Amino acid sequence: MSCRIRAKIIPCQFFNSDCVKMALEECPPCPAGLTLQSRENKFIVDYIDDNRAHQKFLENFPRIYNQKADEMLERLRREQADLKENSALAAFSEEDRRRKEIKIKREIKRLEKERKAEQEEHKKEIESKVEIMVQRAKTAGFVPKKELINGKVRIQLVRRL
Amino acid sequence: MMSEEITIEIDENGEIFIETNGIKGPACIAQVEELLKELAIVSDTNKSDEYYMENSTLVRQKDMLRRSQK
Repeated sequence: MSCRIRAKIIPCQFFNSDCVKMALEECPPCPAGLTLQSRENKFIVDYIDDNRAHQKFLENFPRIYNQKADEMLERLRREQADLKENSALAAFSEEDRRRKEIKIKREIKRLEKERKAEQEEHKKEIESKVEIMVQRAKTAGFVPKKELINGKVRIQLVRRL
Repeated sequence: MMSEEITIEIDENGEIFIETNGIKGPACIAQVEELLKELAIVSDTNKSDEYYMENSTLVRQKDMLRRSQK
């Protein structure tokens, strides 16, 4: 073994504008000026160079974003449960209560759908980046062998000298 | 015949673990960086004794190992 390296494919597309806003407020800005661009109802990190100064931002932003998205869903689910169970909310008229319930239910459904689509998109991002890695290895003269083991993609690259 | 090997494992969250074999010195990290460039960020690098070997030392040592196995 010559060396062992740990790395991470960073997700670059984020769907929820509220969570993006909250994460940007909390995440220290990138010292090298990496920002998110708004395109086609998504927020995209244009990660186009290997400037090491981007690293912290690229590590922090997706983590904080995911945390905010989870918190948002959790809050809505709690509100939904409160509406059903909490007697303090009896002050609501039945009509108001029903309207609020429908609104929260819709919002949860929308967020869950959005999160699912986002995760699918991240999965596609990872697959396409893995494919680029394999192509680069082939160009460098390596013979790749790709297999799926316990949900992990394992690529064995061999170059005869 | 000598060979250079790189094993890459990627999980569903995009976490990558890479191990190289038979690639001498800084070329080992340079090779991996070339593969990962603009696709992933490196969080940790661990170099072994083989990393610090000169190419000739590495070849000599592997040759001796091969002979002792015969």
